[in-house]
Amino acid sequence: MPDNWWVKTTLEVINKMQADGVIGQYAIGGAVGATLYLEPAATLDVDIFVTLPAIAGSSLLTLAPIYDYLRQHGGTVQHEHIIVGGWPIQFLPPGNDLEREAIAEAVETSVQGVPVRVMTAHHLVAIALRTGRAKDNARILQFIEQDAVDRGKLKNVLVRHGLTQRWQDFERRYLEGTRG
Amino acid sequence: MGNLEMRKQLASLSFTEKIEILEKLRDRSLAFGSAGFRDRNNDKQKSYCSCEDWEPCGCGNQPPYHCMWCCRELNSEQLDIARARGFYSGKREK
Repeated sequence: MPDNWWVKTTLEVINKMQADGVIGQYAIGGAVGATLYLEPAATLDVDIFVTLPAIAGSSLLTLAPIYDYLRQHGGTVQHEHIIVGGWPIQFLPPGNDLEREAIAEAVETSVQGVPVRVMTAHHLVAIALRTGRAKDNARILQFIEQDAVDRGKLKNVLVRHGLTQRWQDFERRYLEGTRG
Repeated sequence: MGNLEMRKQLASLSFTEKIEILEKLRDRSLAFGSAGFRDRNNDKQKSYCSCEDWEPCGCGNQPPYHCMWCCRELNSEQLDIARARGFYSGKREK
């Protein structure tokens, strides 16, 4: 194993944090999540979507317990990231039903024997479509070009979360003429 | 191998193997970010590979011979080891 096996160390800390009850379910999204289905592409951070346990008597959701926990376990805060095991992590509480569903339905896999939950391909594509930055569009195209997403499941997610029109716009803009 | 074929081959690697590649890509990005691109004509800027798991790069069988992970030049000791392994001599061991 390389000395700089940062992601493995990072994932062990995340799993421990879940076991200790600081976070609920989690799922890796973003470029690292997409790596489960696509070829690896350079990225500098890991996006982890997390559900947060409700705090009694409060309706506010805060990432403070995560930051406090990770600081106690050697993490350091740097802008919107917290560096754990050398790898910057961005923790993202779900902002909508699509992201909540993506966390709930994430698939289990492993990295060097460490169990980890990663979003499904169709949820990654749907979230990228909703986010809509240039790099998100590029990632969607990778999924389509490499036939790495189940189009039926994707369609269901898009319909359920009101993204059908956005998908049609995407198809018109980027995929027109590529279908037989 | 075509571009699409190579991408499919990379996509078919295990998640563990892909994450290892991500680590290497990130190392290289950080190395470039901190040290910038090296001017090959300026010897004062020259720095050699210090990767513990260095590997000779197979991108070209001509100088400057460099590490496939950090792209920095191999030092003379590393070059000797690489040559002993058949790199840069046209008779690489398989």
